[in-house]
Amino acid sequence: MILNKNFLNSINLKVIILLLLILPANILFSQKFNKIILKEVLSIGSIDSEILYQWADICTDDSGNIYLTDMMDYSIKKFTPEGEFIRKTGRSGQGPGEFNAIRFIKYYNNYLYVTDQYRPGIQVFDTNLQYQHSIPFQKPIADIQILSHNRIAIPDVIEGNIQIIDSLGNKNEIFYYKKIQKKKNSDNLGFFPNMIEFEFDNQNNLYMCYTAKNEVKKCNNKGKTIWSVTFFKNKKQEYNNSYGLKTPEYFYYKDLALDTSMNIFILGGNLSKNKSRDVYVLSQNGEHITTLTLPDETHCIYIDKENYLYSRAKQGVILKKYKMIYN
Amino acid sequence: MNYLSRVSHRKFFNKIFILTIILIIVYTNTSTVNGCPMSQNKNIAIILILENTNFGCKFCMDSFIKLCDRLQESEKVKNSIYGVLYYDSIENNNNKENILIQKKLLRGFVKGNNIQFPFILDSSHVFKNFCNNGSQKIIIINTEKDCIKQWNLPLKPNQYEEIMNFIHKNGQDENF
Repeated sequence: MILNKNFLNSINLKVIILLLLILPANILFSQKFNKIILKEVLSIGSIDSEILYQWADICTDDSGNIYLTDMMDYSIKKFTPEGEFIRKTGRSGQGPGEFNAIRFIKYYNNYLYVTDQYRPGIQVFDTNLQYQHSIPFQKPIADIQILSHNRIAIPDVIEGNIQIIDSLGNKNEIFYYKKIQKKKNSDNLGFFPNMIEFEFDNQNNLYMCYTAKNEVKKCNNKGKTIWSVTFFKNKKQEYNNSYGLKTPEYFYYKDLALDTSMNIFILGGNLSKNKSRDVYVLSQNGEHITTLTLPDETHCIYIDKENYLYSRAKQGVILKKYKMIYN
Repeated sequence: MNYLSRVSHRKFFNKIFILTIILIIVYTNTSTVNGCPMSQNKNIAIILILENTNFGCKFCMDSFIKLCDRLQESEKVKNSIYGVLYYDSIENNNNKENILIQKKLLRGFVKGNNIQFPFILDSSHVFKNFCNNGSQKIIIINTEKDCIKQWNLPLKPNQYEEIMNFIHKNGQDENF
């Protein structure tokens, strides 16, 4: 009897260990919820202060320090997790550490990767905001993810795929998330149809939303679509002629972020009920769990490793940090 | 100290006193805006009009900032320049908070681009009719030439020189 009991216990233990090894942690430990409440915990900048003028992008490091790119004074600014200003770097110009139109900033393993909307390449800084080097890249950068120091993912908005370059700027991989078109698009719609916001998870699954197309989808690491959803039925895109260029009437989705449980947060654009404030939260299966509404319009959302959500307020003059309470 | 010596000392200090008064009058007889002394060239007034929607457009801003740099380098007119930031009250609310936000963005723009001349937000929309679809303008009043001219930005390459020629009386200036 005793032997049988011990034998059963050992079987149970092995089964549990096996399950832990084969099932992703995000499924085992995913939070079940149907509502998210935001509680503001930090606000950086104000209408009166000169600390922040208009931020464009944000990231945090392993210690929770906050890094912002400020468009108006061409700078990178670093703050403590409590919002205390530490230092800044950058100015207008063409040289190392200088910017024409500073935009994205991403953190990976003690380094910051910073892009400029009108200058090719990626500038790399350390966490003391000291310029390190530049990574050459000639095409416009509409979004960027740092998968590792030698794997930097950048959407190719002309071709409609994601290029993965190394630290020298060499294109090593191409991630195709849609069928390769044999015939070039003759509608003169430019790069708008291919503009995406995206994230990879740690298994190289791709989550993406189109800016000018009504689609949110998840692809596996081979580029095969696992699921695809839309939020604005019967709203077909229209293009307006503007100085010889066709520009979209609607911006369906503006940004995408993943929380620590790999739930997908999609920031809606100008078709949302609350324009640029509604965030659609999807499960790993693409199921729409809930919609949370930010207090102020924002162009981007960011979720850090502690599951705090960051967004814009007052036209980018202020950064808000929220604790997300899952109910 | 004898009488003659006292008189000479008094004359000397009187001269110093009068010289000091003259210096004070000369160096303070200027108006100060934003902490910068302005010796105004009363023959030239330059107004640069920018719309807040231009901030996100490098193509628009490149020309504007290059022009600001050129004008600021000119000794003749660097103290005769005024900047105006216009914003659309329909697109942006005209409430007090939005006005303060626009002023803040303007401060950032001035600081980030090392602009030395006064730059004001047109919160009363005086320049509404000058701004069409985000256009920028430079308006120059030149009383030496008895003329007012305007240019739309972005400028063509030869228009920078055209503007500097219009500003300088004889059309020639070794600074440009």
